[in-house]
Amino acid sequence: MLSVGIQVTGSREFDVVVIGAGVVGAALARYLSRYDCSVAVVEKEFDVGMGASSRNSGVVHAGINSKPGTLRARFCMEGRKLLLEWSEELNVPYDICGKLVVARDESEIPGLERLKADGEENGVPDLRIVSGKEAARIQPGVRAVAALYVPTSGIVSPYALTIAMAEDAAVNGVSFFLGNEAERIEPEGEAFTVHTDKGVVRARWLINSAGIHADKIARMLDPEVPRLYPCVGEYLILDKEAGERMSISVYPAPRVDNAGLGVHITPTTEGNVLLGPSNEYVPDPETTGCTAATMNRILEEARVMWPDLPAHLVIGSYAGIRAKLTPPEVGGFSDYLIRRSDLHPRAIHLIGIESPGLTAAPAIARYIVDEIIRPEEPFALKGKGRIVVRRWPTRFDELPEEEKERLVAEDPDYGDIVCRCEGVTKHEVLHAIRNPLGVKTLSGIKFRSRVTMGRCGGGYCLPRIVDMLQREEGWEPDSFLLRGPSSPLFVGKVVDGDG
Amino acid sequence: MAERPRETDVLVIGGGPAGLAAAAQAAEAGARVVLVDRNRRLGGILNQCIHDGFGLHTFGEVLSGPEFADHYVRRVLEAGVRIYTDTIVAGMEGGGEVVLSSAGSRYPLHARSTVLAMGCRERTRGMIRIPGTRPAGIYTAGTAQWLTNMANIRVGDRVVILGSGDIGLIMARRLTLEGAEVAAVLELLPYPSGLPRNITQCLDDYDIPLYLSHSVVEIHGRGRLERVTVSLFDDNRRPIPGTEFDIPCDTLLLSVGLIPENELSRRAGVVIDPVTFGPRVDERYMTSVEGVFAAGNVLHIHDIADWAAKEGERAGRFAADYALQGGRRLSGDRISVEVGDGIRYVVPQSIDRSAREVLLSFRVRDPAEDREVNVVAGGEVIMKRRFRRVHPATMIQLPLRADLQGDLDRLEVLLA
Repeated sequence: MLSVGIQVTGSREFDVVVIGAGVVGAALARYLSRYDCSVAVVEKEFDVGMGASSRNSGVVHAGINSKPGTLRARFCMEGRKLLLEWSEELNVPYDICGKLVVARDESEIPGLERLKADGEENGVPDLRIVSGKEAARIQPGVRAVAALYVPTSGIVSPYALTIAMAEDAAVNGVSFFLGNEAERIEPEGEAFTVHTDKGVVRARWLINSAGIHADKIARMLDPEVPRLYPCVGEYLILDKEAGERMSISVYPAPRVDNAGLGVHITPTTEGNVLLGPSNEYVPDPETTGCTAATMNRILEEARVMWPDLPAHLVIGSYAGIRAKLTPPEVGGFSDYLIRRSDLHPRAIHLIGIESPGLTAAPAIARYIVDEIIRPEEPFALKGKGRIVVRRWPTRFDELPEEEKERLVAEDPDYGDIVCRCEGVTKHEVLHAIRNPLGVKTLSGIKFRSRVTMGRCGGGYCLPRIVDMLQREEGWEPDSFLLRGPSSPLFVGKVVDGDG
Repeated sequence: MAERPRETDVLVIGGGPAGLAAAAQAAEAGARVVLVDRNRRLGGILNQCIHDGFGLHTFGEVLSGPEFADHYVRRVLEAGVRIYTDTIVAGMEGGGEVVLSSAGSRYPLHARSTVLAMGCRERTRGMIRIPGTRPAGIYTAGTAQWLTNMANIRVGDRVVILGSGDIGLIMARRLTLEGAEVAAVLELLPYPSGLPRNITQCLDDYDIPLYLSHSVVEIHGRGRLERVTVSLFDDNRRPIPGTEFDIPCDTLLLSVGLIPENELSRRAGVVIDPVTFGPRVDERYMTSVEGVFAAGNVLHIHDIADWAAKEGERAGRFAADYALQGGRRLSGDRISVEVGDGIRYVVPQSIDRSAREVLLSFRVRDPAEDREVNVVAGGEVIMKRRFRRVHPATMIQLPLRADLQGDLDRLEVLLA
C-alpha cells in the first residue's frame, strides 16, 4: 500500500510549520532548510505542487505585467533573479527564450506602449516595440501588426522547480506531511497546533501558503480575511513536433476587459507548446477539468496570433486554478496580500499569490524568512558542510550520444528505455520512485521522470512501468494509485494468485 | 553478452506480424537479417490478442494471436534471422544508421536496407479532447487488453467503451467474460468502425448495447471515474443539446483510432503522408529515403494481422533485393497514384514505370452498396472491380495488372 511522506518517528514539534506545498511552500521549505531551525510542511495532496504550481504556463516573467510599486512587481523582479540562481543550483531546466506581446490590430498598439512603460519602470531591460514584420522574423509564423519584444522573459519547468525545491528541502531536514489536510489550528501560548485529518503538528511560527485555500486556512486563526475567488485557466498541450516551430512565448496585447493575461502560446522546457489559459471564475476551487467550448476557444484565440497552428498536434489538456482576490464583477489583478495575523503575529498569511507567483516564489520565501521571521528570531545559517544540494536529474534523452553510451556501460538500467515518447530510461523511473518525499503515486513518477507525459499518453510506458514495479518492487494491483488513495488505477486481479 | 555485429544486410524494426514476416522473407531470400523488437517476446500486439480469428486467410485455420505469431517466429528462427528482443532503436539517421539500446548495451548498427515495422499506437483522451475531470480509470482499449491479458490486472468493474474499433469490441467481450459489466459501447459515427463479425460475436452475443451516433461529452469523478455524460451527435458530429444522459461507470476504455508510429521514421527524414500518417511509399514499399522500406500498421492501419503480415513479406523481399543488389534502381520514372472520388487513401502513393507487379491497398470514405472501383489512367478506365458493399472499416486490395508503359504520369483510383 501507499506510503506517503517522510516517516516521522520523532517529534512533532517544530520551529516553523508551512501549510501548503505549492511552489511558494516549497520555496519557503528550501529557504528555511538553510537555517538552524526545524521545519514541517503540511500538504493535503499526496505530492507537492499538485495545484496551480504544476498547472500554469511555466513562464519566468520579465516584469512587464505587474503594476510598478506593487508587491507583485517587487517579488517578480527579485524572484526571477533568485529563480534562475536556484534553477542553476538545482539543475532545473529553464530557458530565457524571450517573449512577443502582439498587437492583433492597430487599436492594440497603445496597450503595448503601456506594458513597455510599466516594464521600464519596474526595471525590465531591452524592451523594444517592433513591427509585425520584425515580429515574424523573431518568431516565424507569428502574425501581428506590431509587438513588444521582451528578450528577458523565459520559461521554467514549474513542476520540476517545485519538486526539486521540496526534495532539496527534505534532504536538508525539512519534514513533509503529505496527505495531511489541515482542519483546525489551535493557538496555544507560544505555539500553534495544526490538526490534520491524520494527526497534529506543532510549531511556533506558522506560514499559510495554501494557495486557493489560503483564505480558508487564514480564517482558522483570523475571522476577518478577504475571500479568494477560484478562477480556472484551461490549457492545451501540443506535441513536440509543434515545438520545433515555436521557440518563444507569444502573448496577446492586454485587453481592458481581460482579467488574465489572455490566451498565449508558450514553449515548454521539454519542447512541447502550451496554449492557454482561459479565464473563468468557477465555484469549485478544486476544478481541474476542461470544457469543450473553452478548448475550442483557446484554439481560435491562439490561431489569431499563429495562423498555422497545428491543431492536430494537441496531445493533452489541463486546468489550473488562480487564487484571485478580485471578485468576478471587478476582474483584473489585485496585489498580493501578505499579512501577519492580527491576533497571533507569528502566523503569516500569503493570500492571492496568483501570476507571477511562480516567478515570485523564491523572493516571497526570502522576504518572509529574512524580513519577518529572522528579525524576531535570528536562526543561524547552517554551515556549508551541513548542506546537501539535491540536483534535479538531467534527462538521459538530452545527453550527447557518447555520454549515453558511457552511462549505459556504467548502469545497465540506462539502456532500458521504458518510455519511448520521452526517451525515459528505467534508471530514471527508479530514481523517481525512490524520491526523498516518499511519493509513490503514478503522477509523482510522471512529474519526476516524464513517463506518460508524451504523445501516447502512457499507452506504451504504463504497461512497462506496471510490469517493472510488479516484478522488481513487488507491487500488487492495488498499489497503483494515480494521485492518492482515492484514485486507484486498478480494482484487483483478473484471477487470484499470480495468474 | 557476445559481441553483436555492427553491420547487416537488412534491419527490420519491430517484431509484430509485419516485421516477423518481413524478416523471414528477407532471410529466406538470402539476406543477413537483424530483427529488433522492444518487447521481451516476439509477436508484438499479437501476444496480448488471446482471442481467435487470426490466420484464416493465411493458414486456413482459426488461430489465437500468439499461435498466429508462432508460425512466423518459427520461420524467422529457421531462416537464421538474428533476433534482438528487449531492444529499442534509440536513434536513426538517414537510411541505415541506427543506434540500438537495451539493458547494459547501446551501440550503432549499419544496415544496407531497413524495414520499418513499428506498428501503431492508440489515439488518446487528450487527442480527442474529451472534456471533464481527470480521474483514474481511463485507458486506451489496447492498454487495458495488455493489463488484463498480460499482467492479470482487473482494470475496472463497470465499463463504458468509447469507439467501436475492433480492439474495443474485443475488450467488451473479454471484460464481460471476466465478470465486469460493460454498460455500453459508444460510436460517434452512424455506423460501427469495427469488423461486422466482431459486432456480432463481441456485442450482440453478450447483449452489450451499441449506441451509434453517440459519444462522451463529459467525464466525472475526482479520484476514480464515477460516470460519463453521453450525448447524441448529429451528422456533422456535433452534440445535440437535450439528448444527454449519464452512465455510471468506474472505467472508460477508448477505442478511437490508431496512429502509425513514425517518430523514428521522421527522424530518419522519411516523408509522411498526411492522410495515412504513414510513410509515402512506392510499389516496393520503399519510402522517400533510399533503402528504407515500410510495412504493416506503421505504413497504414490494417483491419487484420494477416494483411499486415502479407505486406511485411512483400516489403521484406524488396528490402532483401535492395540490400543484395546494391541498391539497384528501377527506371526511376515515377507515376503518381492519386485519390479520386469516394476514396480516402491509396498505398502505394507512386509506382515505378517499369514495375511488373503492383498491389493497390486502399479504403473508401463512406459505406456504400453496389459500387465499382475504377483505376483511371490517361482518361481511360484501365481496371475495374465491382463490390456488393464497400465500407471504410474494410481495406480493399487490388493487384494492378496493367501495362504502365507509354506516357501516362498519373493513375487515379476512384469509386464510380
